[in-house]
Amino acid sequence: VVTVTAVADDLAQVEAVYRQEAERLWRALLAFSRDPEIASDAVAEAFARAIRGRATIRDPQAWVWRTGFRIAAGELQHRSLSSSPMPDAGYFHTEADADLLDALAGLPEKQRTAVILFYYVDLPIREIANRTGMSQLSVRANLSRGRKRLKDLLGESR
Amino acid sequence: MTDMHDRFRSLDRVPTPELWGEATLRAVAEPQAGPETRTNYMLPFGLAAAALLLALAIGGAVLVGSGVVEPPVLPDSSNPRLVYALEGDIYLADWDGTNPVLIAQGLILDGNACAIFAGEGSMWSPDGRHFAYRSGWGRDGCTPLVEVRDAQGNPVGSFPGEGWEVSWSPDSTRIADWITWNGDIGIYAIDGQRLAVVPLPASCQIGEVSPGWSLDGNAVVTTCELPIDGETARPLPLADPRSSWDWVYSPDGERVAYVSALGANPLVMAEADGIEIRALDHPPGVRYHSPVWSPSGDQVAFTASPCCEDGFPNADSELRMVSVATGQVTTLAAEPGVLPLRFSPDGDRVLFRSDAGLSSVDTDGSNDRLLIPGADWGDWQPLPPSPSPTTEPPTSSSPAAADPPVGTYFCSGDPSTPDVTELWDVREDGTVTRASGETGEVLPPGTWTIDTNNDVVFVFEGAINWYSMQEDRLVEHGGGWACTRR
Repeated sequence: VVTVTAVADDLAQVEAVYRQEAERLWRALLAFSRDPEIASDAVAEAFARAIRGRATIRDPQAWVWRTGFRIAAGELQHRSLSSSPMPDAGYFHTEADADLLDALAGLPEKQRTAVILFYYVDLPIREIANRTGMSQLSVRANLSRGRKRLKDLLGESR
Repeated sequence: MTDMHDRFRSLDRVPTPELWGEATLRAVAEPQAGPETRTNYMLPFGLAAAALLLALAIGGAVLVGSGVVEPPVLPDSSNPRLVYALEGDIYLADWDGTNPVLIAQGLILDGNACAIFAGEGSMWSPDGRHFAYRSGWGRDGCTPLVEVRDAQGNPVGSFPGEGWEVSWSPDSTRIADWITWNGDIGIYAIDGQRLAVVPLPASCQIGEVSPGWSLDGNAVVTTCELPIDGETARPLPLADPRSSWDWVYSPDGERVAYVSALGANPLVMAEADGIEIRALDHPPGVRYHSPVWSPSGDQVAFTASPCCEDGFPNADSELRMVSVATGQVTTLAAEPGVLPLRFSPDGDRVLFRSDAGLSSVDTDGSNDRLLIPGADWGDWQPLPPSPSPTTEPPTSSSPAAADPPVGTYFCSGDPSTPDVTELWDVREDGTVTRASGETGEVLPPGTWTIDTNNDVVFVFEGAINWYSMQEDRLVEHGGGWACTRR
């Protein structure tokens, strides 16, 4: 039997993650997808699922990040198949480093995820692995390749 | 050089949309207040409505399916999944190329390609549970990888490797690949873990051909048989079919087909022990190659090409099929670059590639259809026998047969979606009805059958899932789903 106290505690935990992480997660997903709509949908659904399943989620912070990226990746795949046009990137290019976002779009999914979590969210390898569900070895490999590729694309390796 | 962290900091200047805030959180949280007591397993169910409100309020999330009951997709011979490579991408689709899902997207920049994806050889494992493809070809500095996915397209593992074909072990649990061309051979588990390294003696080098497997899965094969436990390599005698070209075992391992390196290079069908059943001599100026077995081992599809010094098909090639029993040869298609890839599980169709793309043709030569124009390679999924009203009842010698999974089950989701639960009614007629454990909503039905490994094979919405029957529980292979009989 679970009392209302436990429910409230669980909800408070998700709420705390929401207040602390939602904006940063949204921006990370924006960098990942280059699409504000995908970022918004992914954040919303990740937290909605976290609330629904909070009684069984041990680490809501890692869970919403992992789920958010999975949802965004799935939506990107769906859109690429349906040939949906990319949204006007001007919305965020006016504020963000446009070259960087364009270059990120040229990275494979796992490399892009690792690079964003490392450089934007400032996470160590172990935590990136925890939040993405990748092994540390895989994170290192994807980060290494992604970093090199990103510098190539940005013309920084020359 | 600009510091990369600084460049990423520019993201902080992007304003977030005003889709959420205090009001949204309160809207979700408040319905939960009040002196209420719930049992643990019911907790997520009661919150579904609140979660849906949140999702709709802040972004149009999709939490609940359409509720439309679709006809079941049977795991039968008419619908093996097709995995194929097209312009550097990998797709998973229905057998005829419809309903494609992008699995891996290649990267093409300035005419160069680093992460491009390609398939060759049998992309599907022999048991049809996984498929594999390569990435990283086409540009210096790219690390060639083999990536493995489950039948639904979910990533399972990857490992670095050189080669052409992805060489699956007969038991579908391992892949052999070059660590370095004609150097060491790596033996990898499907999760990418390297299980063994088999050094290749200079006397056993084979050129740019992927290593094969012995029938028992204990050795890899080049011009030698190389035990993976490190024992001494054994050169293949000339009489061994595997010392010939294009050797391939039938699906049941009972027979082998190959292009003989001796005499006039006939296409030979033989028992696995090398005893010849039939040799098909070619006319002058023509070469036979690339044999592929039908599931029953009764037919072999192959290519007949005008004599080609490089051994590869060229213009005016023909796709032909020979009956092992009678030797009767049927021409199925005539197209530049034609190569047979796989028979359908019922043996009624052949998937082949040509310069035009991926095509399918019936084994009587009719219904030649271009399925995927421009596709480089593809493979049909090997499937277990179909459930049907005429299916023989399981025998008492089969563990699964003695305990068919008929009954009602409570199933819970994998760790990434622990809140998802379903109720399944597994019926004797091979069908499964499902309902959401949270809302009671009727979900698209499915089918079940038992494969040759005595695993229970469920098909829901075209996705195939393998479960073990463990007393009153069904436990998914490689996944987190588990169902308890009620």
